Amino acid sequence: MTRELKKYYRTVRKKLFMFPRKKRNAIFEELQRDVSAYLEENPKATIQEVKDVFGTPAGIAESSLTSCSAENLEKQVRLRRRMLILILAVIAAFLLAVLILQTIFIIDHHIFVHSHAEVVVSPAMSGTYEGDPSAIATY
Amino acid sequence: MAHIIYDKSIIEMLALFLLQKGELYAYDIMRKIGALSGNALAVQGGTLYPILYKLTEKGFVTDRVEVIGRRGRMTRVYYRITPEGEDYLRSLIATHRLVQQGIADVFQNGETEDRA
Repeated sequence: MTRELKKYYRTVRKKLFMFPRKKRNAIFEELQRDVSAYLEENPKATIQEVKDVFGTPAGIAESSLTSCSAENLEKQVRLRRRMLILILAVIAAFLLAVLILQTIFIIDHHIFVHSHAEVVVSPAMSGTYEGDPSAIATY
Repeated sequence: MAHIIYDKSIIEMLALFLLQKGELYAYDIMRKIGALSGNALAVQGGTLYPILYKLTEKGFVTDRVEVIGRRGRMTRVYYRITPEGEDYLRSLIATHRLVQQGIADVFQNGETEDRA
């Protein structure tokens, strides 16, 4: 029952999204209090009985919608839309940053792999070397 | 089996009517509607809470939080009707009676028309 009740509360909370947070919390707390009072009076009540007395999450959502002013509802929908846009913008920025960094890395890697140092020996340098032979070997 | 009321204006009317007799909390209102209707009517909590909030917002009822229980962790919200709420209740009752009468007239006149 406890698990089912927790699931019920979770679903109800989700369904009350159209209310401002403060109001949503107040409605939710009131529901919790009254369900507790009901369960004290009816300790053997099933989750179905709780739903019959207090409403299914979908029913609560429907009732809440009809009690919510159009202005408030519009405000909440607008707020949600802005949040969604913000989240998408952050994801897009992150992906773009990853893409740029990856491109830089590929270019850098390409330069590193395909570049080679050229040793040019000028004619002026030709002739007999009279220094230490081990230096040539090292070179 | 009780008939569950979803009609907002009827719930508002019943809740305000009960609050006229003294302050109550939401679950009390639900229980009283059931008991006074001989369990013919029921209001679900999920339907009632948003309506009570709307009534509070409009100034038709006021709410008061009371701490209950020994540990003082639990609270209960009591609602009380305001003078504006009483006016609103009168208008709701008048509208409801008008609608009821209108429906009765439609049934009666409809049957008379059928017979004629």
